[in-house]
Amino acid sequence: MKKSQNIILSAVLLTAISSCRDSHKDYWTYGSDANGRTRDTSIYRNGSYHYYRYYGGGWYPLSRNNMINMTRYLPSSSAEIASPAFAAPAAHIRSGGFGGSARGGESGGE
Amino acid sequence: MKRHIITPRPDWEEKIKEQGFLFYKIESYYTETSAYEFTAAEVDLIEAATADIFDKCCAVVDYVINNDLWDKFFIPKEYADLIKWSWQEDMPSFYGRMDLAFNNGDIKLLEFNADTPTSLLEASVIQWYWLQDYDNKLDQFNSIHEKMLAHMKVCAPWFYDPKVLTFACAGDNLEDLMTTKYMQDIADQAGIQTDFLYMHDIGMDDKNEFYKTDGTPIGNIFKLYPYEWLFHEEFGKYLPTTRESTMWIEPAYKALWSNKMLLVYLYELFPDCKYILPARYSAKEVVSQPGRYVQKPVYSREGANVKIVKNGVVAEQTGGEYGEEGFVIQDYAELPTFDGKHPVIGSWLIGGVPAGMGIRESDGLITGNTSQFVPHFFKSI
Repeated sequence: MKKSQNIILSAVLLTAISSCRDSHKDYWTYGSDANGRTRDTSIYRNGSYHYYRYYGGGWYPLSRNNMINMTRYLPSSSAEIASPAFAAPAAHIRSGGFGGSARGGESGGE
Repeated sequence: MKRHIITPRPDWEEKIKEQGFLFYKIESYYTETSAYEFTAAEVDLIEAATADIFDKCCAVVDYVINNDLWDKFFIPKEYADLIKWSWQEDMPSFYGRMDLAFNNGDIKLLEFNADTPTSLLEASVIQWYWLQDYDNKLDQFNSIHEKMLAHMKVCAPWFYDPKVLTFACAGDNLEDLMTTKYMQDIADQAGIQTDFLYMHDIGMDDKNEFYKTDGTPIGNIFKLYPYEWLFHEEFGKYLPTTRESTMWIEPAYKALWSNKMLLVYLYELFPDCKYILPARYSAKEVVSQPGRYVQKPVYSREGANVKIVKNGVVAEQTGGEYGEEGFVIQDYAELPTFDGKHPVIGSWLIGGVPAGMGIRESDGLITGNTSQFVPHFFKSI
């Protein structure tokens, strides 16, 4: 046989599909994996605990309904949610030095 | 090789969208109304040709490095050491796609899309799931997914610290986004810690090291963004100086293979190879020349600025803004015709090993961004 035995698509791609297809919907999910498990963490910041759930390659704020919302929030990295100034980009980092050749949605693919 | 008219699955659109093929409607790229059948012997021929051509492409890189042919490839000199280093250190590479003409068992290399190949999701996933529904006893030349998964596991121990692999592509392009997200998904399954950003969000700190805007360093980055763009953008000059702290996948030597000058040097080094078409460089457009040939810009994407000439008459040409660096004049390889369609084989390599194929067919002779993806199968012996 020259074909793959099995192909499983997991949370990273499925999350991207959801956010591209349902960008107009308010999309809540438990964010559990194929075994029904979730991966949560809490961060103590500014005098209170903040709760996050890992799904599709990033952390989302965990709501009181024990769900996450992938259309209201963008996924964050571990370093981002641990940062005291979460959501504020680091001041000494400059960006925009790449990406200019693809203005207008031109594909970088060949 | 045969072309079959098939009936699309009743729920095919919903199925392929659930598998990430959200860009199938653009220029009717996928309609699931036909499929190609191969024999096992034909698939073996394509696989063997792909491996053989790949060996010859490796020889071209050695030749370019040993003879300092950077000018011939229009590579800025400041990147020569980086390319040389990436080759000599055998820096990790994930994939590449050779476009082949396949006509009654005769195989010719049309070009090597080695740096930023797309049509990956449809070749690896979409046609595989299609075959499960069509007839899962049939075989398909397509172990792209499992070879990629295995290869990423092999590459992971070599990643720089922090051993996170960042995935990046240009913004505002759905095909690029879904292709990159598919690659990130495989890496995630391979046990690699991953994240994603757009190319314009790649940051640089005050010591000129690559960082994410949250202040974490970029140790390893997969980019669906070509080197000929990177080399001419503001942060490009930091690629050589950060080579020990940020690993770029694909590696810099891919700038030689995705460049059409590769075709000229393949022919120069291997004129008797049955897979290699005669090719030469011309600084200016060739107005008229006897015989049949294809004129391609040194740098071009998705079939832009290509001209096919037969017996001094332009048979077909496409528009675009490429051609500043000159053109490669390649002998014309006859494509087969099935129901008025001309298929081109996209033969995939994962880690330098043939891994499968995807077929795009066109009404005309130039395969570009208006071609259609068509699934394939063969019967195992």
